[in-house]
Order: sequence, then structure tokens, then C-alpha cells
Amino acid sequence: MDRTSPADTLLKRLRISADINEADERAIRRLPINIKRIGGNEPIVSFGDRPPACCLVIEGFVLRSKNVGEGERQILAFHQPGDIPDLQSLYLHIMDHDVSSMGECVLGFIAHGPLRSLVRSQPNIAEVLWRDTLIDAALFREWICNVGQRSGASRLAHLVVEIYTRLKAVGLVNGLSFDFPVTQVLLGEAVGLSTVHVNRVLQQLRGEGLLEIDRGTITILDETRLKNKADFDPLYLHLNPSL
Amino acid sequence: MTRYYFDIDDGLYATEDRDGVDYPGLDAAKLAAIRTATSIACDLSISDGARVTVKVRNSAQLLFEAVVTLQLSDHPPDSG
Repeated sequence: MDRTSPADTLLKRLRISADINEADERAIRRLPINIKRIGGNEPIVSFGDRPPACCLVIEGFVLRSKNVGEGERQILAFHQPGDIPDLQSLYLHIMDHDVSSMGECVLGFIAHGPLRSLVRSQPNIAEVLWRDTLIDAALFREWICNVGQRSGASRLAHLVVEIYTRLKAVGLVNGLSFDFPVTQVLLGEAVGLSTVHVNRVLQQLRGEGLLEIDRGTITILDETRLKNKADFDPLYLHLNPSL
Repeated sequence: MTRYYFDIDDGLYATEDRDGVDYPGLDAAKLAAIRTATSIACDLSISDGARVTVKVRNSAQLLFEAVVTLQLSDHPPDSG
């Protein structure tokens, strides 16, 4: 937050996968953004809500989830600085899932009114956000493949490589290490395995010298072998604006 | 909440649980053991059959075990 503005966080993130011209940048910088700091594991918007604003992740991590049956929860996506996890609420007015913080977060709320005006006055920004929404859908397709077809070890490996690749794109990794406040319970909810199974797979991946998770820091020990285990192809992340 | 430890052996790979996982009671721990044993079994090649054993203990003693056995048997040729 100190030197970079919330708009910088958003611009940096959007520029990874789309071209943004100077007029677009000026328009984005004029957006009113209401900053809030919230604690870990707190709801941001919930199923059934009619949020008046979209939320930009400025610092920290956010997850989207849906409660299934009695007390089971499926994590649908993890979001990092620069993401707008509930962008859909601009056009789908009632939330069909939950958005909550992982660790402590700084969020920027952008009211729907100014955001809608921006999209109408700057067609290029509308296209950029549309492209972003399509990439979001590409991630969901990959997650379906992950929980539906991969083995337990491959699922976790894939999730870790995906998070690493997305964080690296915005410069939030330190070599092969990155901070990500995840627990074995959350990992299980994201890849459809019991916490016990996750615990075993993590022991296995550590034993094979592939990755290590220690109190909110994930370290990839062997990138090539982990990517092989993960069956990872980064195409679906569409990180190159010209492709 | 009680901490339960799940030691798992699928015949190829055995893990001893040093961290443990918290569950509200024995029933929840049993459900977790069953789900874990079946999902590990899903990942196994069963050409020769396989057996997944999940032994569950608390900090003091072994409490129960869940076992999933996979068996593939060729049907005898029809003699009639």
C-alpha cells in the first residue's frame, strides 16, 4: 500500500493478460476505491447477498467457496492481490457463493455505479474485464479436471504450481518460495480430499523432494518434477496479452 | 475437539502421522478414516490387488482401523 496505490495493484494485474492504453489507465485511476483492512477467515460477501460494490484484493488472499450438503465446503478459487473475486456481482446481482478472507487482508471496494460507468465509457476496459472473466472460467475448467481426473498427489501438485505461477506473474514469489496462508483443511476443501489424505500426500511430496509447506510458506523443491507430477500446462492461465 | 493421528499404509507407501488432525469425536474420525482409505484406494493400480490400511490413534493408544481391500479376480472360463 505504502507507495503503490490500489489502482496500481489492479493495473499491474490486468496488464499481465491484457493491453491497457493511457486513457484506460487514467480512467482506472479515477475510480473511487474504499480501502478496508479485515482479519483472517472473515466473510466478505456471502451467498444470497446483493453487494453494492466489487472487491479488489490489495494485500493478502481471498477464497471463493460454496457450502454443499451438511457442513461440507468446496473451495472454488483462491485470489491474490490485483484480483477482483466478485466482479460478477456487477451483472449477477445476487451472490451464488461466498467470498472470504484467508489471512489478514487489505481490500479495495469499488462501487458498482462508477465501475459500470467506466465499462460503458471505455470499451477497451470492458474487453479487458471480459477477457479477465474468461480466464477466470478457464481456471474453473482446469479445477474441474483437477478434482475429477487427477490422483490426490497430482491434484495438490497442480494447485501449488498454479498458485506459484500466478503469484510469480505479479512478482509475489521469492525464488521458488511464496507466502500463502493455507492450511491442510483448506487444501482438502480445494482439491476434494480429506484433511487426512492431504496430510499424507504432503508427506509424500516432501519425501520425494518436490515441495514443502511450513506455516504459511510454500517452497517448491524441484520445479520440473513437481510440474510433471502436476500434469501442468500453463496455457489455461493465458498470461500473455498478445496470445 | 480431539486430535487423532492417522497412520496409513497402501502396500507401496506408508506414512506415520506426526501432525494429527482435530475432529469433534470418534464418529467424525471414523468417517475421515473411511473417506481417506477409499480415496487413496481410488489412486491405486489394482492389477495385483491392493489393501489400504488406516490406523487411527489418539495421543495415548490405537483406537480403530479402517481397511479397504481391492481384489480383481478373473472369472473362470465357462465350462458348460
